[in-house]
Amino acid sequence: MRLRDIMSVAVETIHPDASVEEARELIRRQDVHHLVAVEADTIVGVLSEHAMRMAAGDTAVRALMSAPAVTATPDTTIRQAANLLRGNHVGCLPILDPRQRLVGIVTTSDLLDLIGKGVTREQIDGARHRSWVPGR
Amino acid sequence: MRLSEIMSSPAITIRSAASAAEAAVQMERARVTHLVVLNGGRQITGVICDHDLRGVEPGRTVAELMSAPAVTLPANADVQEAAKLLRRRDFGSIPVLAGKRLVGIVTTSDLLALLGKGALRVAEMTPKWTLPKRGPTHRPERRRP
Repeated sequence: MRLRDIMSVAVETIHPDASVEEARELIRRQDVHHLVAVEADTIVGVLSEHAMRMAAGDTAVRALMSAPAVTATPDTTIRQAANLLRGNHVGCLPILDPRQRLVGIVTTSDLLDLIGKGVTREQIDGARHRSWVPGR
Repeated sequence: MRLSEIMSSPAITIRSAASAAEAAVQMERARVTHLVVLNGGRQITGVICDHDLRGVEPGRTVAELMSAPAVTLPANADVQEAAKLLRRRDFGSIPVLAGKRLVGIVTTSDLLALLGKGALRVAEMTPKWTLPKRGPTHRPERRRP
C-alpha cells in the first residue's frame, strides 16, 4: 500500500498572506481540516484547523502555518509517511507528482485510520504483491 | 498490541488552575508535548498540548485552553482502540489508567512511531496453509488393513 491508495485528492490551498478568518471560512465551506499555503505556484507551508484554534481572526496564515512544508510522492510508503509526519511534527503531507504538481494530501488521521482497521506489516512497507504462500 | 507496551510513563501532569506560561515551562522541563490536566481533587479533567499554547496570552489558565473532558483508556486496551479515538482529532493524547491510577499517556506520535517501525503485530492475520499434494503438516496416521 502506498500513499496513492489512501490520499485525499481534494486539496484546498490558500495564500500565506490571507487571514485566519478567511482560512476558517474555507475550512468550514470545503469541510477539510488542513490547508496548503501556496505562494507563486510554490508550496510554502501547511496550516491545520487545530493550529488556529485559539488565534485571532486577523492573524496572517503565514504566522501560524508549519513551514517549510514537508511533501511526499504518491509512491511514498505508509512507513515512510509515518516517519515524515512524526519526525517533522506536522499533521499532513501534501502529495506532489513527479512534475511537482499538487495531486493530493495525506493526514495523520488517514494513518490512524489504517491502525484502527488493523493494517499489516506488508501494507506498511508498501509491498506491491502479497508474498508467495504455498498452496493458496 | 497493548497500550502498556507503547505508552510514555509516567504521564506529566499539571493543575487546571495553572497558567499557560506554567504549562509551557512544565512541558519544556519534562521535554514532552502533552500534559494531563488534574483538578483540585487530583481527578483527570482534560489534556493540553503544545499547539493549545501557541499564540495565546501567557496569563490564560490551562482550564480554558485544554481539551476536555479527557478520554481515558485502560493499560490493557488495544492500540487499534486508541487509534480510533485519536482519529476524531479533538485531542492528540489519551491518559492511560490502571484501575483508577494514572500510569501513562499515549499520543498520536506514539502510534505513528509504531507504523514507522513497521511494528504492528500481525500474527493473528497470518493465514494457515498446507503444502499442495503433501497435505497438512500433522497428518493423522493411516489405519493399517
